[in-house]
Parts: sequence; C-alpha cells; structure tokens
Amino acid sequence: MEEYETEEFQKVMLSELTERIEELNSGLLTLEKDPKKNVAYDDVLRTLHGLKGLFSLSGYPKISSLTHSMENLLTSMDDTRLEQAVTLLFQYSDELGRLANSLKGGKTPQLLRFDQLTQQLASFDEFMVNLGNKLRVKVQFNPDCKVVSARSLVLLKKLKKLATIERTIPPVDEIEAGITFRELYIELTTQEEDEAITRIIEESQDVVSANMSRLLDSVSTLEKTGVMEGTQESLNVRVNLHDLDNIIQLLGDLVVSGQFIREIGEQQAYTRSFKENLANYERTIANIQDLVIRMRLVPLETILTRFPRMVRDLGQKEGKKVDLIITGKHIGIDRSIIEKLTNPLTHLLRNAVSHGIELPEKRLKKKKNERGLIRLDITHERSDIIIEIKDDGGGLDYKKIRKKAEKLGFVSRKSSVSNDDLQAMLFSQHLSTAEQTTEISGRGVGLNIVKQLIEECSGNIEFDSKPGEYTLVRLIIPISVAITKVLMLQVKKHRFAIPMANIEQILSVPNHMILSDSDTTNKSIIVDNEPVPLIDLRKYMRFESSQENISYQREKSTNNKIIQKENVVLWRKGTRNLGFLVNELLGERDVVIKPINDFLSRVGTFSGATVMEGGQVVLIIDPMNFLEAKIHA
Amino acid sequence: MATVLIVDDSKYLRLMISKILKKRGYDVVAEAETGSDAIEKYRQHMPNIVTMDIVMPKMNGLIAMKEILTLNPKANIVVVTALGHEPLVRQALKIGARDFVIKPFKVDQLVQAVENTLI
Repeated sequence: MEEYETEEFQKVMLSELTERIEELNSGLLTLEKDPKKNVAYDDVLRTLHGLKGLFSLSGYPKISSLTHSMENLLTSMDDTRLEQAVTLLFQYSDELGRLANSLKGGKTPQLLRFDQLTQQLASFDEFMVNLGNKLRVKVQFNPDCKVVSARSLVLLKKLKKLATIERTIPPVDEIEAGITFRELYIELTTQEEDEAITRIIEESQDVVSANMSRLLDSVSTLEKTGVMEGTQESLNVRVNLHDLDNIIQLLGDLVVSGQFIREIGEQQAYTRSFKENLANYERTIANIQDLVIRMRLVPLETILTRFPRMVRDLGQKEGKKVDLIITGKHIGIDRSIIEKLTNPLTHLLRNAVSHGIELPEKRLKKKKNERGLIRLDITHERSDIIIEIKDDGGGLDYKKIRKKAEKLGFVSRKSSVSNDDLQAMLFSQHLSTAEQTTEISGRGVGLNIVKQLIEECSGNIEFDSKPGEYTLVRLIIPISVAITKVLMLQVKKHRFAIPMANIEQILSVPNHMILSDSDTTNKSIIVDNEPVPLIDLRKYMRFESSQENISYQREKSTNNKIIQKENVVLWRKGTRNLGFLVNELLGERDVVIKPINDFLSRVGTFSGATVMEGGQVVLIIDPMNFLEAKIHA
Repeated sequence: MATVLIVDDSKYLRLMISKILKKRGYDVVAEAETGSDAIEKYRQHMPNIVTMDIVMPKMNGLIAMKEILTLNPKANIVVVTALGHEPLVRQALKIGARDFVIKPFKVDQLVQAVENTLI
C-alpha cells in the first residue's frame, strides 16, 4: 500500500474524489426530484461505479465494498423504495465529503462512520427482505407462441396453488377477452420460496424468461418503526423471556405436585370425583404448558431470510454459481435457541459455498450442473428439530484430512482410520484452527466452534459425505422444554432416569443373547441384525461390589428353571444407538429437570437432576455422553 | 397410476394420445367419441385426467366439460384443440380446464400438459 501513499497519488485521488462527490450530489438531487428521470439514475450509477474503482485502487477496500453495496441498493430499487435509498446515498455522500476534508487537512481519516453506514445499509436491506413479501414477476413469452393469453391463464392457474395473485398487467379480464401481448406482469404474495415460483413459471410452455423482484408493502413503516417488528405491534405484548422461563419452571413444579397428589390418592381413598378433578387439573396444566411453550417459539424464518443473499454474494465473490433452497422455515424453535443458531448456520453455509461447491468449470467437467445447489432443510423429528445443510459439491476430502491428522500426530501413518473417525477429528480444535484457511481444503475451519455453539443449545452435529457428490451436515437441536418425559430406572438400590425422547425400545433379553467380548468385557446385543453396544449401568456406576455380586448370583441360581432375562433400554440418536442394562424399569414420568452443580456436571454422565416425592433426588443420565466416550475410547 | 379418459371425435387422434400416454405409464381407462359419451364414461370410470377435444359434432367439448365439472369440481381436464380456436381455449380455461394443447402438438407438449394437471 505504500506506493499509494505518495503525495502525488494522494493529490490525484483527492481531486477525483471531490469531483465524484459533486457529481454524486447533483445526480442524487435530480433523482430525488424526479425519480423517473432515467438519465439521472444512470449518472448516479456511473458515479458510484467510478468511486468503487477509486477506493479499491487507493487502498480503501471497505469503502469500496460499501460503494458496491450502494450500487446494488440502487439497482434493486423500485419506485416505492427509492426515497429511502436516496436518503441513504446522501448520507454516504456526506461521509465521502468528510473523508475528503480530512485527507485535505493531512489527517488520518476516521472510517468508523462508514462502518455504521454499512450496518445501516445491511439492516435496510434486511428490512426489505422481511417485509417485502410481494413479488413482481415479468414473464416473457416465446414470440412464436400464438396463444399467449391462453398460456397466461394456465400459468396463473398454476401459480394460484402456491400464491395469491394480487394483480396482473394486463388484467385477467382482458387476458380472458383475448387481447394480444408479449409480456405478462404478475404481482403476488406467497409463503413459498422464490425459486419455487420461478421454477413454475420457467417450466411453463412457451415462456422464455421470468424476472423477479421484491416489492415493499408500505414504505411508511420504515419511518414509523425503523425496526423489523412490523405493524402488528399493538396486538402483542412484550414479555421478558426470563418470566416465561419462570412460568415454565413453576408449571413444572405444578405437574410434579400433581403426581404426588395422584400417588397419595392411589394409596388412600380414591373416590371417583377425586379422580375426575385430578384429571381435569392435570389436563389444564398440560394445556397451559403447551401454550407457554408455544409462546416461546419463533419461526426459524426470522434468522433465515439473510441467507439467500449471503450465499449469493459469497458465491459471486468466489466466482461460483450457487442456489440456496430452504424448506421448512415456518418451523418454530425456542427463542433462547434461535439466536444461537445464526452463527453456526452462517458458518456452515459459508463452508458449503467456499469449500463444498466447485467452480463452474470444474462442475461442468464433472458433468454436474454448472450451478451448485445448497439445500437447507428443516424438519421436526420426535422432540428434535433437524436442520440439514447439504451441498452438491466435492464432498469431504478424506485424504487431505488424514494427511493433516497425521501431521498433527492424531493418527499414525500405518494405522487404519475409518472415514467416520476422520470426520470426528474435524471437530478437534487443533485440526481446525491450525493454519486455518490455507492448509485444509476440507472443512476444518472453525468447525469446533460450530460444534461448541450447537452443544450450547444441547444440540448435536453429524456429518455425511460422499466424495465428489455431496456433503451433508445435520444439526439436531432439541426443542427446549424444561419439563421432560423420562423413564425411571432402578439400578441396584438406586434410581436413575433417562430422557424418553430418544428411547426406541425396551427389550427383555435372555441372558445368553448378550454377547460379551472376552478381552474388554464389553457387552453387546444384536438388534435387527445390527450390533448394539451395551452399557451395564450396574458396573458403570460401580455398584457391583463383590458382596452384592454374590447375592445377585445366588438369587439367580435358586430359580434356574426360568430363563434369566435382562432389561435393556435401547436408545437411538440419528444413526447411532446404545443399550443400557438395568435391573428394573419403573415406568415413565414427567419431571422438571434442574441443573446440577458444576462438580457433578463435569463428570459428564448426567445432564441434570430431578426431585421425587419425599425429596429424593434422581440423577438424569445423558446417553450422549456414553456415545462420545465410546468414540474417544 | 393415473387413469385417463380420452375424448376426441377422431379415432386416429384417440389412438395417438392413448399410445403416448400409455407409454408414459398412464392407464387409459376409456375413450369417448362425443360429448354425451364423454359424460357417461366419466361417470363410469371417474378417471384422474380427461383429455378433451372441444370441436366435436353434436355436443361440443365445452358443454361436456361443464357437465363433468358439476359431477366433480376437481376434475383434471386438458383441452385438446386445433390452432385458431384460442377463444374456445380461453373459455375452457375459464370454465375450469387445467391446461391445453394445440393440434398439431409435439409429444412433449401433450405430456407436459397432462403432467401439469397432477401437480
């Protein structure tokens, strides 16, 4: 950059800047007075373009990219949004003036304000995307098509299934009357992806092209609120999230005391009216629980709207053509979690664009579509939200990951390592942060941070990849609920609980079906032709003191006519499963999970605790911990 | 498999449409030569899709279409008609046809129009 700091360069730059600022101001003034004047519009665009070049050459990349965004803003603008855009452009021009002044005075320019402007522009843009639910599509028909009006009617019929048609040019009655035209304008509102709409139009017969732009519902809302909350404010009351949490906790306590009441009732006189009233009470609490939990849900859409733009821009920057399809964005997720998802998702999408999708030439060579596709699919599964990010790019490069892992001494050169294990290593801090972007062509960059963030939401992350074809990242996020269904277990004299959420089956397994590895004493069983590792909780908790062991054996040998069976709780998360060997099952129960103290949580085996009738504390086992322990073992 | 009723006064065209659709896995359950025949066959078979010629002797396709749509307002009807009948096509679309094909048509055009009704 030194060479640009010579006086001569500075001088020329300054004079050009001053000139351009004047150009910009006069152009903006004309544009503001008469938005229809295309000449002024073009002038402003040209000036911005010139400024962009000037800044990028003279060592102000940030201002250059801001200028680029300003250009984008102006080109994507239609009449309704022009006023806001011009205001923003004036502010930008003012900042340029300040910059020029400080350069003239030989001072170091303050660039802070430009950052603010960039933010303002970003929020402005986001606001557009959020409220701009109206789409305008320009459809061009094949000039040879002799039945344009009839085609248009078919197209509108198809669109009506996905969208509400606000108006068309020409209007429908004129189309029905059979007037001749070549271009059809459709304004519509829809819950669907833009791509879905475009696809329907482009797949229609005789359609040559479809151009889509977003419209803003009402410009005035921007001035009134200046924030993203829409106009329905008056119907809503803001509630402190903490209060909602408290309500859920308190409700949980109510549920538990309800269970105590039921138990007392069962032990003593249990009249019909007592039963009925208790049932009513429980039902009401369950309803309130649902309601409060729903209050906390926010559709994922609120954080997803920024991604299509981000992917597009990033793709462009890297010379890649990328489409992003998002499905299931209406699915609600707890408010406390949703914000935590933004960063990991941003990170993973960036990875998909930068490391996953190949350059167009390379894709063509591989006989893939020149445009890369990233899918972001959100689904509900049991008590989890599953977010899948799948790109049809090059997949994980296991060779390179392995090389890197060898270099770091994670793997010895000779040992055989499965791809799964290599994937697990991607999350390791060292593999990911060392020599960040340069070395690792896979996805090592910052994945450990993603994992940490996901784990903060008590979520889990999984990888799946086929070299040359795709990479799939699956985030499994539990829908946060303070009240959880658990299965109560008896292990020797002690009670434990396991969350019901991922319990797949409870089996009673004859003793001889349990396979035991003679070396490690690790046990397993076969379920559906698949080996399932068993965790013997009696052993794990070190309850099997020698004395107990003897009594246990003797007990069994006294009735050796009966086939001895063991209770196995089969647990599955995603593709992985585990079985727990327990003494007795005590049934399922709704409990409030209370956090456990630091010391116990460091053990890792337990995710929380709950208090039973009579004040007995029951620890809740975290099966995930056993899975991870297995991997690292 | 989607079932189809083919309505056309030309035997040649019925055969052609039938062959094209059968090849793509559609089940052609009946054919009709006239409008009244079409209504009768529709009632009998309740097919998923009807390809409907408009200009036919005796009862024209539009009247038959109206009848069919009163039997089943969700009937999937694809209009097949000759070039120069665009006003009839627009009328048919207004009444409730899903899509149309102009004779002479290419195989793909017919297939796309028929598939379109199932989306």
